[in-house]
Order: sequence, then structure tokens, then C-alpha cells
Amino acid sequence: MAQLPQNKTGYIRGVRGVVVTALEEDGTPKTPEELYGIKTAQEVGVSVQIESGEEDILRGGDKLLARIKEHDTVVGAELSLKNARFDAKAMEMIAGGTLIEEAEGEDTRIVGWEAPTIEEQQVPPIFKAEVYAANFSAGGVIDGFVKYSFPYCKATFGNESLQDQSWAIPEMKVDCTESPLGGGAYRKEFVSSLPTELIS
Amino acid sequence: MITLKALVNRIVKHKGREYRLKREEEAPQMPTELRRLLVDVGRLEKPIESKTGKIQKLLMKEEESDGTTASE
Repeated sequence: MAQLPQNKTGYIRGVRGVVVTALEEDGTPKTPEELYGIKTAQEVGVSVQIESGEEDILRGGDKLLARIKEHDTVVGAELSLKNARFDAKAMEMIAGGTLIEEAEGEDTRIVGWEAPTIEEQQVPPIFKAEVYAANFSAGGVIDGFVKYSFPYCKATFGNESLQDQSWAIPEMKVDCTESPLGGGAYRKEFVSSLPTELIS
Repeated sequence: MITLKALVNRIVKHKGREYRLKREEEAPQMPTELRRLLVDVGRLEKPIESKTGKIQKLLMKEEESDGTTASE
């Protein structure tokens, strides 16, 4: 019996999409389950949030006598999510606010989104984010995917720029912490295929 | 006059007007056809029919005054 090496190369490139799952405050999925796939993610920046350890230095006789430094601790991650299109449903699930719909026959169609009020922003939506990126073999062939899971996230809608000769790319800032259900602030895992929310 | 609670937050546009739904709050007055649609698509709660059929009767009465019928 032995521990075999990891099953994929870990040569990761690009971003295939993000799946968002709405959560209750305690970290459990909402009932009925609410999932949404963002297929046009352009960039997902992951910056770890570090709580710096305290440093204390003892000096005497014009020299440094001793130095202690607590270990820095990663307490979470901040995602910078850029979507290549204005996706009203994604905005509502991630940053809150209100969808604008229009009656169309026996259905309704999403036609817009309104930002959450200041009051509504005090209780932002909580969600799990799963970011998918392609894993490549040494020969440059796609060999599965890597799923980054952020189990407990809150977001604020961010800036966008409307400019001549340029695409507008909405951006959102997402704060990710450990889930009340346990586990680390994020996870990276090889998977063989993309979820249905990112296909078709 | 029947008022139904909204199940979600939404802004619904219909025939040039906007109706703002606030979760758990009573929906604003709106045309019967729109109210029926929003009940069907899960934006408004379903009216609970009492034993006496009072709500059903009220709905039919409103539809009659709107010029629509229950079978629409």
C-alpha cells in the first residue's frame, strides 16, 4: 500500500466559469437549491487575506538583543471576479439587489438589475463559489479541470468603465472565509469534467 | 380587493408600468392577468382557498370587473 502521486499535472490555464450556490447564514445550501453558472468569467483574481503576526524587538546597549515574530495567518481570500458580460442573474445572486423582469406570454424575462439599497447591503447574500480552470498535460492537451471552491462568500458589486472602443467589464469583489460548517477558506481539487451549469 | 404576499424581490414591468415586489410584503395592486402570471411563476404566493371559497369568489368578481374570465 502506498500513496500514489496526484492524478493530474496541475498545469492550470485560463478560467472556464464560476458556479454560484446560494447559502443560508449557517453555510448550508438554500432550499430549494439555487445554483447559477457564470460561463463568461474573464478573470478571477485570488488574493489571500493575511493577518500579520505581531513583531516585538528587545534592544539594549545600542544593539538588538532579541526578536520575536508571531506567524502570519491566512484568514481568507478575496476574489476579484470579472465577467465579460452584464449578467443580471449573477449580479443578483452574488451582490444582492433586485432583478427587473418583464411579463412575456406565460413567463417572465429578465431585463435588468437594480443595485441593493444601503439597508439591503447590511445583509448581503451568502454563497459558495466554485471556479473552474482547465488542467493541461505536458503536451498541451486539456486533461480535466481544477475546481477552486470557496465555501462561504459575501460580495460587493464593483466598478466598471464605459469607454469608447472598449468592452465594459463589470467587476465584483468577493470576500471568502471559512464556512461555519468547518474546513479551510478554500480548496483546489482535480475534477474530470465541468458541471452542467457551465455546459451548453 | 385581494392582496398577495411576494415570495421574492423583483421589479416587474408590465404595459408601461412598474410593480415593485418585496419579499414577505404585500404586493402592490396590479392587473389580474399579471397577478395570475406572477402566482404561476412563483413570484407571488398562491391564494389559499378557504372552505367557503371566499377568495375564489373574490378573484372571480375582480376578473369580471376587469373584463376577464376565470378560464383565461
